[in-house]
Amino acid sequence: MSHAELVSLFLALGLLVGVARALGEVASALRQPAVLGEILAGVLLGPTILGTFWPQATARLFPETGPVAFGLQAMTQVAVVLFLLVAGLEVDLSRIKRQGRMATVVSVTGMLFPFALGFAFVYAAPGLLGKPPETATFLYALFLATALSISALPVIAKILMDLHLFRTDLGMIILAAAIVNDFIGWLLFALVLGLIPGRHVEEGSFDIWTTVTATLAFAAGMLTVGRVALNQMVVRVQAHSAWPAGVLALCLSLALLCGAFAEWIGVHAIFGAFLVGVALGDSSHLRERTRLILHHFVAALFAPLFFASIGLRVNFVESFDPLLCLVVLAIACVGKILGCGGGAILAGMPSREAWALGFGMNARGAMEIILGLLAREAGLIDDRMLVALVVMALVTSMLSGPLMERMLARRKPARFVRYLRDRGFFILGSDKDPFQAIEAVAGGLSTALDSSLETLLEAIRRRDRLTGNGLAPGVRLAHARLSGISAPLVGVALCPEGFRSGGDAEKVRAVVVVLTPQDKEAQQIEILTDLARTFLDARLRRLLLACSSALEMRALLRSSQSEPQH
Amino acid sequence: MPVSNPQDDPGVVGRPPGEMLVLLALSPTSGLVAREASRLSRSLGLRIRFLHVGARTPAIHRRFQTLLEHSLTEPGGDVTFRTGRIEDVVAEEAQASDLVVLGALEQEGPLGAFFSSVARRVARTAPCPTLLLPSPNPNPEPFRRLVAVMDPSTPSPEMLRDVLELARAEQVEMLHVVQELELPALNLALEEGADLDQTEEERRVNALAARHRLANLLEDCQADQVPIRVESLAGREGLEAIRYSQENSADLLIVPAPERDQSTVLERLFPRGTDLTLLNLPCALLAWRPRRTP
Repeated sequence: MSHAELVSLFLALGLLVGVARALGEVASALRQPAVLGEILAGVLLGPTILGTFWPQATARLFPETGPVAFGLQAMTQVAVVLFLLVAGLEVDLSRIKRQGRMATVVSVTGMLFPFALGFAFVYAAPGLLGKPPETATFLYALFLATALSISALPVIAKILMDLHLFRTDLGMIILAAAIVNDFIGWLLFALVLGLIPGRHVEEGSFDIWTTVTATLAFAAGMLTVGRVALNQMVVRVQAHSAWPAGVLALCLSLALLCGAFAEWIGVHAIFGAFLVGVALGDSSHLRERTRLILHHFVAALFAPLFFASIGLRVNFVESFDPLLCLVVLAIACVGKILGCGGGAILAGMPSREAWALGFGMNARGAMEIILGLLAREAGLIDDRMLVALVVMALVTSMLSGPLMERMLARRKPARFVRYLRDRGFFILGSDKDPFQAIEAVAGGLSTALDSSLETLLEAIRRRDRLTGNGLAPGVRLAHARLSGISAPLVGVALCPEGFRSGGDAEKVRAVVVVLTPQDKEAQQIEILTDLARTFLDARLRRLLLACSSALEMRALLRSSQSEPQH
Repeated sequence: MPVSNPQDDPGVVGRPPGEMLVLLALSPTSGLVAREASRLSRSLGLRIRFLHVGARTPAIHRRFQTLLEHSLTEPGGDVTFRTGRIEDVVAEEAQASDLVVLGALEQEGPLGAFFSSVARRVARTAPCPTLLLPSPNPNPEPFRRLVAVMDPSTPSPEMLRDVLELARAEQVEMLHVVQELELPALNLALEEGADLDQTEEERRVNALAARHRLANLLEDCQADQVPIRVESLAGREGLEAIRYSQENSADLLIVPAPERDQSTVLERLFPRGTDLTLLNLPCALLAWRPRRTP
C-alpha cells in the first residue's frame, strides 16, 4: 500500500468511525436505535448523498476497488466477526428451560410462524419478494425465512431496560425466547451460507455435504469439549498474564481463529466467532468486567464502522423499492407478532401482555442488518432487498418500545415524591451523624403515626440489620414496614457538607426515611426502586442535595418526570 | 426439615420425631459422614437410620458395624442393606425421612454435569432435603455460618422457615439469606446506546428490590432471634452462590434442590443454578425441597 493509499485508508476509517459514532449518539439521545444514526453516517458519506452531489469526493475517500477498498472491506469483516463474538457471549441456552413453558412456547412459535410465512411467501410470489433470477428459490426462501424469524437481542435488552421491565416475568420470557431465536437463527444462517453453490467452486473448497457435516460437528464440538477446554484456557490465561490484556487477546484470537476455521470448512467466519462467544460466555472464570470491556470495544469502534459501511456500498435512494419494503415489513411484523403473541396467548398469557410480548420480539435491529449485508456479499440478495431489510430492521426497532408500552398501558408506578411530607424534611448541620438525622426525620413523621418514636426507630434498625442501608453514593436509606399506616410516608434529611461520620467511609449527605404499610409490598418496592433510580442519577442527585425545602424537592422531582432520565 | 425435641412424647406433640437417612458407602470418609450425621441428628432431634446400597456380605456388614461403633457416641446404630440403583433405593427408603445425608466429592470432573455423580442424582431424586458432605469434620461442630440461596424467581417461605429453624437449632453466628440476580443480555444494551451508568443502575435497582422482597419474607417469618444478613448477588445463578459462600467462609450452603425430573441435554451442557453449584461444592450443601405430604 502506497503512502497516499495509507493516508486515504486512515482518513476513510477516521471519518466513518467519527461520523457514525456521533450520529449514533444523536439517535440514542432522540431515543432511537443507535444503529439508525450509524447507518445514516454511511448514507451521508456514501453514494446516496455525498456521491450524488460530489461524486469525486466519495470516489476519493471510499474507492470501490484497490487497496483502500480492500482495507475497508477487511476491517468490516473483522467488525462483523467481533460483533458476533459479543452476541454469543450473552447466549444462555438453559434459560429457556428455567423460564418455563411459556418461554418455550413463545420461542418455538415465534420462530416457526415467521419462518413458515417467509418460506411460503417466497414460493408463492418470488418476484414480489425481490428474488434475483439467478438465485435458487429454495435457498432464497430459506434465507428470507431465517431473516424474518430472528430477533435483535441488543434492541430488546435496551427496550426492557428503558421500560423497567428487565426483571419482570414478561421481560425474562422475552429475553429467554429471543436468546434461543438468536442462537437458532445464526446456526440456520450459517447453514444457508454454507449451501450457496458459489462458495464451493473455488479450488480447495469442500462440497456442500462435507460443509454441512463439518459445520454440525464443529458446533457440537465447540459446545461440549470446546466449552470445557475454553473454560480451562481462560483460568490459565488469567492466572499467568496481565488482566485484562491477556484474556482479551485470548477471546479475540480465538474468535478470529475459529472464524478462519469456519471459512475453511465453507461457512462464514461469523459462525466460528459466534460459537466461541457462546462457549466463552459460559465460562465460570470469565469476569464480568472482561465481558464489559469486550462489549465496549466492539460497540465503540467496530459497530459504527460496520453499520456505516453499509451506506457506502449501497445507494439507498436508487435501491429503495417502496413496494418491496412494505411487503417485507408486513410479512416480518405479521409473522413475528402473531407467532409470538399468539403463542403466548395459547400458553395462557393475558392478551394485552401477549401482544406486548409480540411487539417486543418484533425488534430486528442490528442482527437483521448484518444478516442482510452478508447475504448480499454472498450474492444471495440484491441491493433492493438489502435496503428493504435495513428499513424493516429500523422500523421494527423504532416501533417495538412505544408499541409495547402502549399495549401494556401500565398503571404508573408509585413515586416517592407523592408521599414526601413537609414535616419530615430537615436540613441539618454536619455536627449530626446519620442516625441522629434518621431520628429527626422519624420524629417528624411519627406525629402521623400511632406507634411511638422508639418503636419506629427499632423497626428501622431491624430492617437496616437485614438489608443494609446504601441507596446511592452519599445517600442512606432508612426503611420500615408498619402495620398501623394506610399510606406510605417519606421524609428526608439533607446535609450538604456531609453528616458527621466515624470512619473513612464516603460522607452521607442525605438520609431518606421511608415508611410503608406492612401489607402493600408492590407499592413498597415501587417506591424503593423509584428512590434508587432517582438518587442513582448523578445529575438529579446533585440537584436534590441542594434543595432547601420539601416543596422545592417536590417541584424538582415533578419536573424531572417529564424529562428522559438519561 | 423439622426440628423436634427428642425428649417430647410423640403422642403429645402430635408429630413423631422425624427421621434422618444416612447413606453409607464403602469409602474412607463414611465414618466421618456418620459422625457428622449423628451430631446433626441430635441438634435437629431426628432419629437416625443408616442405609447401604449394595450386597450384604458378612465382611461388609462387620465393617459397617465397626465403623459405627467408632463413629457414634451412643450405641444402637445398624445398617439397612438394599440393592438397586442408588437414587431409586434412596427415593424409596426416604419416603418417611426428613433429611438424607451422604458424602460427596468437592469437585466433579469436567464431564460431571453430563454424567451425574451419585450425590448429584440423589439430590435430584430424593423426596426430602439432602445434605451433601464433601469434607466432613472429624470433630463435628454445629454449622455456624449458613448461606441460604433463595429461588431467583419465587423464594419459598417454606424453605425460609426450615432454614430459620435450622439456624436456631445450630445457633448460627450469621445466616446469609441471598438471592442470585441474573440480568441476561443486559450488556448487549450497550450496543444500542445505553451507557455503563444505565446498566449499573439497572443492576443496583433490581438488587435493592430483591433484597427488600427477601427482607419482607424474613420479617413475615418472625426471624428476630437469628442474626441475618440479606444480599442479592448480581451474576450467574449457581456460580455467585459458590463465590459468596467462599468469601464468607460458609460451612453450610443451602439451595433449592434441582427439579426431580431428568435434566435436559441443554441443562447438562450448560448447567445453571443448583446444578452448577453441585459441580463445585464450596462446603457442605443442603439441597432443600418441600417434604411430600403423606
